[in-house]
Amino acid sequence: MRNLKISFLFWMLSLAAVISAGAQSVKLQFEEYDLPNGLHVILHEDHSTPIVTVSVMYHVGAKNEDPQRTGFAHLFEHLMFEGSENIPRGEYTRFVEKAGGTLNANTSWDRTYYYEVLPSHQLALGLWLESERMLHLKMDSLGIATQKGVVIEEIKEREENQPYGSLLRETFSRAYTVHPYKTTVLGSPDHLRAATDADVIAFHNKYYVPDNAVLTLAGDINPAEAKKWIQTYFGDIPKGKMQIIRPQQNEPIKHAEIRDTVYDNIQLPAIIQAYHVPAMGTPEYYAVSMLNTVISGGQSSRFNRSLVDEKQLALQAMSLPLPLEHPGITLALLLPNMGVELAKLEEAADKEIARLQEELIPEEEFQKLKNSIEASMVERLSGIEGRAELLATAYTYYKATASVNSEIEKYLAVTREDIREAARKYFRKDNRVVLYYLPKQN
Amino acid sequence: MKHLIYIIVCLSFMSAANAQVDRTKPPVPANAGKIELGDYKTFKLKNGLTAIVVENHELPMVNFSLQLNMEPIPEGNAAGTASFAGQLLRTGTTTRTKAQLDNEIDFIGASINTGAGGIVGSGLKKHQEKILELMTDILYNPVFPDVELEKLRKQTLSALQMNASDPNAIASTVANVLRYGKDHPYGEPLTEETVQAITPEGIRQYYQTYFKPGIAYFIMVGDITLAEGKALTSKYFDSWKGAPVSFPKISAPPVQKGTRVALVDKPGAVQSVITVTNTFTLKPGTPEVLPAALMNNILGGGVFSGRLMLNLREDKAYTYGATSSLSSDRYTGNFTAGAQVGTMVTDSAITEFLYEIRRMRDEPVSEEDLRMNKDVMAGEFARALESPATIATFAMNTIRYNLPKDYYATYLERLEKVTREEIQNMAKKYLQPDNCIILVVGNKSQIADKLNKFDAKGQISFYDRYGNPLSDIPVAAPSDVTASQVIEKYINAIGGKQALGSVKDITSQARGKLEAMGRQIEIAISTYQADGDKMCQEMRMGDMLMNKQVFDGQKGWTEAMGRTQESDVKDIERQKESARLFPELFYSEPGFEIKLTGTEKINGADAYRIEVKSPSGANTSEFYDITSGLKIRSVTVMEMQGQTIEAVSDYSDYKPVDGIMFPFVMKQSVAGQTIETTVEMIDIKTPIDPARFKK
Repeated sequence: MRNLKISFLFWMLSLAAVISAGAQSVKLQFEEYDLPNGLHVILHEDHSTPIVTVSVMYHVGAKNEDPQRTGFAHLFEHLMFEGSENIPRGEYTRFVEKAGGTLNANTSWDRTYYYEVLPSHQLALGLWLESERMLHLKMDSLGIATQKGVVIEEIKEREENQPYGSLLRETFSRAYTVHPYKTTVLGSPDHLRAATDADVIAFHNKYYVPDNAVLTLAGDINPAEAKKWIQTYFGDIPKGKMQIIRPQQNEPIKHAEIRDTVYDNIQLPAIIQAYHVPAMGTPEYYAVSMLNTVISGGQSSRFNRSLVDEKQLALQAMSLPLPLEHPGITLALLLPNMGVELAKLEEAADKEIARLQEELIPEEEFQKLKNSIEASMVERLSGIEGRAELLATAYTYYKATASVNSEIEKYLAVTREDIREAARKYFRKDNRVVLYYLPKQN
Repeated sequence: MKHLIYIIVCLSFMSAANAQVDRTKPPVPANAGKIELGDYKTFKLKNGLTAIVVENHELPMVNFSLQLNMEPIPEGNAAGTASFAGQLLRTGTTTRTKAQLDNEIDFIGASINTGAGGIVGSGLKKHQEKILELMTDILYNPVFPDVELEKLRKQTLSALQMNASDPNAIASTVANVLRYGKDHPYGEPLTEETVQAITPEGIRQYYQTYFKPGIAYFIMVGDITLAEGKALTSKYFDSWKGAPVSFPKISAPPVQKGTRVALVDKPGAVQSVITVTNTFTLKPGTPEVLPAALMNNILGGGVFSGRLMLNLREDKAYTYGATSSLSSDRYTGNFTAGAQVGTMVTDSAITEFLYEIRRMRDEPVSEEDLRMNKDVMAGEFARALESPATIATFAMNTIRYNLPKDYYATYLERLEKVTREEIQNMAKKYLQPDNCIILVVGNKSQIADKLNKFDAKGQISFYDRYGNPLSDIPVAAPSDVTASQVIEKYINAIGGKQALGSVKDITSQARGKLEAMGRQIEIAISTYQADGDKMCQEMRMGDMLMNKQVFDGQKGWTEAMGRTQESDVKDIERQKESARLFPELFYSEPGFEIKLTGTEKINGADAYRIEVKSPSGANTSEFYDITSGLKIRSVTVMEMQGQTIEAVSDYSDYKPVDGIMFPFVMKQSVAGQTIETTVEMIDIKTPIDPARFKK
């Protein structure tokens, strides 16, 4: 299923870009309810195009995994396309394509997301497909073995063969010592190899249950009819019987910089700076997110203007918060121009951060920041698939779907002083991991 | 009574359908609702500008698109000028530098992009006037700064260099040349020469000639009303001065009679890129466009469902993907099928392509195939409608091609009505398996002979990567010369066996330029080689030692950025071979296999092609100048991270050093990277400090 899904890194980065720049003046209308089995349902009606998005977000990601069995949530992203008791192997995707639709899935540390976009008269097909894999996913030895093999190859391809592909693994394993964010979403090949069929089936039985999922329909739906279909296909799926494990937010506050060197299959060296930041949805997260936009949002941002255009030290310089449910990190990625010493580039980047800690950003730049956040908050609503994911995410993390509509106020409540305070409090040297990525020689 | 039972049965049936759904089957789809297309309005300014408004008030956003109704124009030896003009538009106006434009666009959270065909801007509605102010500043007052032109030229040249090793890029360029001819605007290739020939004057002339309101559409999509659109258009575009625009006449492309097979050699390639294509007249908006598209979808559309995919991938496993496309065009449309297949199955794959194309013509398609492909296309159409820009495109096409106003509104209805007979008629008309072009980019020495049978004249023709015919078809190996004679001649040409044998040390210093990410980087390379297969090579960038590779006769290692990595055991044999002072002296020893496979033209010179297989298993193609005897090229195929990569080294400017000839210029290309190095010093007398070969 590799070709079907977005790289989760990409997903993280794109989401980071969207959310970091957010603010909205348009409210999404929706209704929501729970089925008796605990499945949360969100309906967003929009008849402008005769298409519908059917999505299921499971509140399970890498952080729920047994530390000795990492990579399971991502393994399921593959297994979930294997078919079910009623869908033969390989047919899941074909059903969608034959109906004129498209589908995809992605996984993070916190949740896993599956969706189909279909012509609206095929709504029932989407519900049947999603309910089939929630109710009785095909998990035979052949399928599990095949997908384990595919996933292990994928880890090699993404982490070893892609330039900077090991970035998240190398960063998170150093940034976290206690919290399960210390593993990566792709997980460990050894753990996957060692996993028995029973381990895999148990993971599904625990987490892929209606009371740990949000079903979202967005688009051209008749809510009354849609509810009937939902009842038909999801109503009799039994509640989960096992205790769902939710890890604690237990990572200690950092007081010492961690520096290291990583050798990778790359042409161009790079610097990673990872700062610990607050969890998504907290007031300080919005300040951090805006701070990131000041640093690298757009052609005229601080890093682009200073490091790329004026000093020509960097080919690319960006700073992105990773939206995580528990206190997460924000990543600065600095690619030097050929021949530029990394230390010199790092010094220049640090200087830009220091300026943000010392001086308030000018009024005009603050206005630019608010304007760009306002624009991107509107832009993120321009497709129904994206809206379905926003709604599902708000419910999954905050149990408050309506927070989608109040996010703009949280951004607008941030002051210039808050941004300076975020720089002072979180962009501290003793609160970060710095990695030098250097070319490995064959 | 009977009546009542009937009702009860019905009721129980209904409730059963609700509670106990049959999960074993996919649900029956509901009736597809009627798809309502968004409406659009148009008006015209006095200067000839046509404006289109598509209202969509869902979000407070606007998208403004100024599009030129361009016809193809020949650019001749400066191909690329129009594209350069378009890209450079946004890099500065008489009152704003690029940095100022960036800042003002960012300030309102908007985006503005430019191209040869126009300017597109989008953002929040409340900034619509600012967006238009910036767009029209770009439109009316561009300066095309010289520094930006040179930057773009450099980037484009780097991209062309990368394309040199990309068989798909080569196939696409050469297919256009073959379909339309080099003098047709659709066939003109972009080459190093044409990019170098682009001038500021040419760019300005393109801009001044074609950025005129009489051939432009101004399309407003989003949160905007007709009245607002009229006021804004008038405010920002009334002052745009009109001038008549005339387009040069285009010659009709050549008509293909009989099937022609063309080959572009990619020495060492393990896959062939196959393109089967033919041209025809099929104008946009004419009644046959839709049934022809449906026909193509059955043959080679879809992700898994096309016949080409089922045959070449699912059944034969020749390829990861085989697809086809069919396009309408105001001048000349084309059908193109293609795949990337393993070298050894190149001819078999072509056979299957032709089989499937003929089957479309010879047999009616099944009802089931027809049904499924109608559904796939209807779904694609519906999903595309989510973007209001689709409506804008529909509007522009309706005007530009003079289509019936309901052309798109009736799309699904017309799609539904297409019959099996029509599909077959479309195949007969638009697929020309007996009058087509079959282009293969692949490893000539492995496949050329097997392709002659597909050519109407029984003889394939050869082209370079820009579609220039190569008249000097490689000649089979001459019977009166042997491989060892060629090697012997080379050894004599560079100084003779005895002189070479007496050399114990070679020190050389070279400088080179490396293109990476659009930048030129200067590097310095020092090489030390000593008898006993010892070698040390250091690469510096400025004063910084980037990389040092050492082979001490037994083992090898690499030092880079303060880290040492030992060579893999399996690489040691190979490194040992390449550490030799003059490897050709060993070609007559057991374990080596050398074979003369023919003669070819290399950079204008006739050369013998020798295939060398070394004891370590390395395969190299070497080319020796027939006249001078000197080695002028070697091509090595390497496996790297599961991919086959080919490294080409060209040697020139041979000069004597103490009686032995050395090439002073070396050009090496690998994976799209080219490094040209010039030797500054060679010393074969001074003994090398043995410490060089130690850690």
